[in-house]
Amino acid sequence: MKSLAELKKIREEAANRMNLRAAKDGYRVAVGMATCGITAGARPVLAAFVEKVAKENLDNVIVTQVGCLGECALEPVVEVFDAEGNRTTYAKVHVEDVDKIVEEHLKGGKVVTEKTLEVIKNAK
Amino acid sequence: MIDLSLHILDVASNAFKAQASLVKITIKENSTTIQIWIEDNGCGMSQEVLSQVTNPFYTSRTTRKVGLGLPLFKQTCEQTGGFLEITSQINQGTMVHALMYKNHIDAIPMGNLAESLFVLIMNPYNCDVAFEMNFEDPNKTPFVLDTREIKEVLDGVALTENAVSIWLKEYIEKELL
Repeated sequence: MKSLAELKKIREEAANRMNLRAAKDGYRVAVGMATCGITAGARPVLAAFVEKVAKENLDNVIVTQVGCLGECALEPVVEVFDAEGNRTTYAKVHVEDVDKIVEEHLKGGKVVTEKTLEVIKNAK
Repeated sequence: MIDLSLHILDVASNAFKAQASLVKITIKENSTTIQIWIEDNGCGMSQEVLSQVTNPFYTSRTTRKVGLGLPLFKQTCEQTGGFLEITSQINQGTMVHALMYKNHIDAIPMGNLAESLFVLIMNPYNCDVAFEMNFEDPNKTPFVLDTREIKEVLDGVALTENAVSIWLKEYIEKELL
């Protein structure tokens, strides 16, 4: 049975790990979570990013939530910012795309071109 | 929206835009109805705005001209014979109270409430979430989760820390699924 007492143990381990962490270049992943995104399936996408990043222990990646990005018809939309602030926008991202974006982009540094907003918009 | 858990996530997210520091979500289920209260301590709305929020062609946002969150939730309630009520006070906050008849043919299911709660508590707006689920079975202990309590246990370690977020996700799933 999980309890908050158990959380306390997790907390100690996490605090120790935080101290070991060095400054590093990283990514920020922002998932559009307005009504349009939620309706199109952004919630499981966000949960999948959080889970995958946590399980792979990618300490240099922050997964966050944003509002509507104005591309409602192409939701779920996910933006990836690198350490220099360069933005890659992915469109129509579903749970099955999350692994690929994490592996190739967040771990490999290579944009998953076929899921970018530009490519998906032009394909229409 | 295909289920209630998505409406809850969507409408509770309005609290972030309203700069609330706390959003309370209370769900009560019995054999015939589901009631949901979503209450925040954000900036609130004027009577004028309040009278417009369930109009789909009104929105406070600037990226597009429609706002469908509350109108859709209202429709979900009313199509079962239920209702959606919104009260708000400027600088005090907003309360949404929804009632649905769950045996009505047009009632929609609850869906993955655990995932909605998880996503809400992971919000990057530093807004606390106080959640209470009262199950249909009166013998089942209500599930209560308050991020203020969790943050006290975490004592400076973020909810979004990898090991913490995984633990929280599993904890919520175990309690709610």
